[in-house]
Amino acid sequence: MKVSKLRRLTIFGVEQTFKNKFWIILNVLMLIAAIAYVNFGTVKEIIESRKEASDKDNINLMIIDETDSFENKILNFKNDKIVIKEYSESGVEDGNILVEISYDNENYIHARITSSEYIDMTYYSLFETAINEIRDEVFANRNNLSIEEVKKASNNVEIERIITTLDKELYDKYSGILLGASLVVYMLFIFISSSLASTIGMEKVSRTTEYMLTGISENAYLWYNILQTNIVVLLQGALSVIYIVIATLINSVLRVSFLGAEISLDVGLNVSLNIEPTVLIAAVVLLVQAIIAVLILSIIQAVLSSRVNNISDVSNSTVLVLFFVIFATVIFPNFIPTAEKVNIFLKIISMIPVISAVAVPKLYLLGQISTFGAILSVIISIAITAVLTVFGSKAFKKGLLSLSKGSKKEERVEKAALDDFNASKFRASISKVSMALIIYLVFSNILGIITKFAFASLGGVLNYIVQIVTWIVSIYPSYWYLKNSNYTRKIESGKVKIDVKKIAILIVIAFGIIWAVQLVSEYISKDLTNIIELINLDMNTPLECILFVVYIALLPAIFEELLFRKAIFGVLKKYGIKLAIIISSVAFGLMHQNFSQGIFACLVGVVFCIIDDKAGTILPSMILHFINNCVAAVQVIMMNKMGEEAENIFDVIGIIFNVWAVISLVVVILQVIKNRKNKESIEKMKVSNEKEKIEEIKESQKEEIKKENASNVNSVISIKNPVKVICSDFVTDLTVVIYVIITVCVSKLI
Amino acid sequence: MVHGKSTMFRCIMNIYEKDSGEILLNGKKITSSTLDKVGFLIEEGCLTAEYTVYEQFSMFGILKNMTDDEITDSLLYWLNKFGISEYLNTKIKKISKGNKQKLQFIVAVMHNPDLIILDEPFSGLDPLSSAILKNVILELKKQGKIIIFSSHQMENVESLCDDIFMISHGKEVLYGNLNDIKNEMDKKKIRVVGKIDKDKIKCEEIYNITEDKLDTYDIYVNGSENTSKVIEALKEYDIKSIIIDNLSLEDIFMEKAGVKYESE
Repeated sequence: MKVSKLRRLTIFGVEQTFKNKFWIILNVLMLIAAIAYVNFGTVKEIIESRKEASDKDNINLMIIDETDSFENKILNFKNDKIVIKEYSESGVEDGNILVEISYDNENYIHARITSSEYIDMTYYSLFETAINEIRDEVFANRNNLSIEEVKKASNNVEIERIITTLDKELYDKYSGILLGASLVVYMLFIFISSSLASTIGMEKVSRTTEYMLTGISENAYLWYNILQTNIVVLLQGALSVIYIVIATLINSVLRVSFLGAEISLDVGLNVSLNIEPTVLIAAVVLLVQAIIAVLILSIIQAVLSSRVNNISDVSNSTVLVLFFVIFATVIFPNFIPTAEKVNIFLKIISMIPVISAVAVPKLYLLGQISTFGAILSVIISIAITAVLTVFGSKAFKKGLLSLSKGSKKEERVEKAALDDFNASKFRASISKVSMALIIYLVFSNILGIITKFAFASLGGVLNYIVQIVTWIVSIYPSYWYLKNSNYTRKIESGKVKIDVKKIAILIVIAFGIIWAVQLVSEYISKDLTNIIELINLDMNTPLECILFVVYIALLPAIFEELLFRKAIFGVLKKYGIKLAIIISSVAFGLMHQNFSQGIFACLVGVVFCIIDDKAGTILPSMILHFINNCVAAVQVIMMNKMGEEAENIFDVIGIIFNVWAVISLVVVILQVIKNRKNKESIEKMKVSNEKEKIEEIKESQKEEIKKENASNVNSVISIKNPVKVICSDFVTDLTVVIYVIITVCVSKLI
Repeated sequence: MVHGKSTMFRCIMNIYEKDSGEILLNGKKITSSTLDKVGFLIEEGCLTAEYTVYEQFSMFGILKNMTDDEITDSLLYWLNKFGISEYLNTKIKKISKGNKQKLQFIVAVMHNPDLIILDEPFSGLDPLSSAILKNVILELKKQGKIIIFSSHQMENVESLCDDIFMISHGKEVLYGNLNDIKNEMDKKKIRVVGKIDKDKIKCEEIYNITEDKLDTYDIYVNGSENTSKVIEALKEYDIKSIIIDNLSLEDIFMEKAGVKYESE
């Protein structure tokens, strides 16, 4: 029963699309475009064969040449269109091109080309080649070398890369298929996602979906939409092929009747059918994976579209999926190197459905994964599709029935006012944070330069003391500034109970996560420069070693946590936890002022923020920060003392940490899944309390506004001149950006 | 007004999952094949603006397992009945609100269902269309269809329904045959036109007096046999007309819902 309904609906939907007048117009246009595209060259040839070459297209050249060889070179190209003329003052205005070649001060070639209009690309490159050849000749003459030698020296070295196990020729021959396939999947999906989104969105917005659900199950409804759009796209593809065939036929008719070509049926059918088994398997995997990828993406797109509540959201719902498709099919395959061994992380990522559509065949062609791996990827994709169908249809139904709650006008106005107030406070906090960052950057860089020149000759313990003092002096002012500003004073109050057991669990899990983060960031920034190499400290006596640990591990753990977690994250937390995490982590990354450390710091910052938020204090992140840096410091000390032995020890410890990382990742994922389930029941409760809460918040905000107006004169001014506030924020933000760029440049120079 | 009517209908139609309880139709659980013989008019509307009438109804017809011929015949029959057959190939977004409401009704009845659920069918209709629709519903009722019909307009309910089920804040207030309920209430309403002093009339049986318009009062009396007493009490005033009537459904609703509010 259901199946027949599904079939009839699908057929009906496809028919409707084909009856649509826009679709018919589109196809007529496509046919015309195909004919025009295929026949353009032929028509041009026909027209040119009938027309005598006219003077009009000539390129008129005037030459002033100190080397006296340009003219010969141009004549050597034997291009009829290029005509050489006598030099005259007004020549350029008359439409001639003036080429001047001269020796400069150091006897190198200098050239200038002047014209009144643009020069055709082909001619311009001819001139370029000629001038380059002249340069080579001049150079060869001056140094008594032969022209060939000079040419060889100026070209890039050709490296022939051979991997004995990889059939490079085979790969080169068929890698085009992969590129083509990825583009096809991408182009296909633009159509599929937009048409899926528009049908579902349209029906959702007008609530037709609700009635549809009375006749068919949500599963059937989901598949009706997916099948309908996919069939339309498939048929459209078939039609496009027919259009190309028609265009080609017209082309051959034109050629035969106007250019006197012979009738031939040689359309490239003589491709040998001798395909290698590797390529065959890769092609099959590619095909299967592409089909599955389209299905998975369709389900995701349908679920996303089912959540739209007004027509303008419809197009937005496709953006996310399209971005993912671009990443999976176009960007990600480029990460897979053809000449190096592929990282295990890349292999794991390649197994993710959709990404695997292009990545797995590529890996397989490169011989980096076995046939078993390729088949495994297909099995994973199929399994995930099955899971998605079950959960997808549920999420789809949920989305279809979730309608925007039409909140009353008054409530909305009040909420908007609240948002405005929060927004202005938020902007102010942001500018404070940026200011703090500036203060840190200024202090640290100026002090860094001073110590570099003033105390360069110091060694041993004294050097440590100077470094430690410098470090504290550079980081403390920004913390002090944030601590004493109006917006942060609040976080000082309110003691939180310290739950030792909870903190211990958090630290154990988070350490594993940080190790995983380290592996990932090491992978992202391959040239992970060792922190220690940047500092240049001695580690000869035990005291120096202790100072080293203090400098590397203890101080950052205290002060960086105070600044980034307590001050910055604590202030911004009120305005949305996600945003606060992002800003404080990015600031933490920026503070390191170099790319590889910055990425790691940024990612670790996220972990720190989350555990601090969970524990309610900054204690866990302090401890973790200390442990993490301590491990690095101990590693460096041991390497210094023991050399290679230490490396072996750390290899073993690394494996333990890897296992630790995997376990904690699993724990976190399980926890997230569990929380999801709990969340729903909590949310139900929340909805009922929401209104009361908003009122409560409103009251407290009102009081706050009053207090602020009474206590702070500046805030009164800022309310009077909102433009000024925004401008000042903008200026501070801009200065941060400029300053970061400058400091990075300066530190690179020094 | 969130009282749970629409939610209940959606539970019947398998749109929402019910939390508990059972929904039976002729003693059987409702499945998607039994739903093929159920018609549903959604209050908020269910027509896609971008489709033409014919497209939309073809889709809904397939949904209810009708053949293509059945769809066309039935659609034309109903469009003619409401006098809107010229809209057959018009896009729904170009159709006025009243006519859309008629189309909504056609959605509910086009597949000749045995059970018809109508959620606020009269909203947005002009009096003339309202009258047509009322006649159509009565016709269906004569054909022996079961019609579940929700409305805030009590006069429509009164003229169409045999049994009523009153719901307030998700809970049953009143359930039973309309006539039985009215008899059971054993209360009368006396409509008086004339100048009376509302506060000075003293009669134990009167439990409420409301002023409907200027110089028009509704006097509510406990016990139908007591009306004569009230009329006796009214004699001293200058009265133009007196009408003795049963309580209207609206009055019953006001009373029942009011009691409910107070008890909460």
